[in-house]
Amino acid sequence: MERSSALDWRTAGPEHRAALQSFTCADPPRAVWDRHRREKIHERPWELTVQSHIRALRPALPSSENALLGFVDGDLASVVHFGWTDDGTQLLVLAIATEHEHRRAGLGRATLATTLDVLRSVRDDAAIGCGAFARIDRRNTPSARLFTAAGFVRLEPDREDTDLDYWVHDLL
Amino acid sequence: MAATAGMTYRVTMTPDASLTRPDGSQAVGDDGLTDGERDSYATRYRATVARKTLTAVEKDVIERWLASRGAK
Repeated sequence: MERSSALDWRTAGPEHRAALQSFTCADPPRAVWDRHRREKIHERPWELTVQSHIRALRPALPSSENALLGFVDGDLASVVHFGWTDDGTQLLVLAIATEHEHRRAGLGRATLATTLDVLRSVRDDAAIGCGAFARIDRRNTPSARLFTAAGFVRLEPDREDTDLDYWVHDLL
Repeated sequence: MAATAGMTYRVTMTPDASLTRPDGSQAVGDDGLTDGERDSYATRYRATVARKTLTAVEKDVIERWLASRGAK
């Protein structure tokens, strides 16, 4: 049986704040002090930033945003945060992450597929011809593979931020 | 015994001497970060990856991509 078949989706609410605040998707899960650089470092800083973003989420979220939480056996296993751009012209995948202990079980794929279904429905309700847009850290190759497999296309590199790539999906 | 010229000392172990930093000790979470450090990471994420405003460059690349899709 695929792991994704046991996913229980819930819309993020105030009752999920504690689970979000302990959500761990970074590998390794902790930043460590580097005595030579005199700062805390992490092997994959982009994982620590998305983890910090998810831990900082405080549902209920603004009406132009939402988050879906995937539970496996009662444990928070995946999170996706999405919303409209400020001008309401495009849909954004703001963050997507899988709990460290549930990696490599297809949860990321299942989460992104569910997200696209939700965004298609939102787009249809709004009756505008928008797509789904995402920014991904260029070093984050697992996410690049995930988005490619889901049908996202990488656009030309961000000339303003050299760490980010643009990804878009036509939601067709 | 008073030190005399030519005497050498051999260090056998580092003594245990703890210090409590006044006003500087902040709780560190299981991610190795203080609340302030975590907030800083989250703020940076919201200002970059999760920024809800599209820049002119971003609008441009999306429009060109949509136009190229329409041309096919």
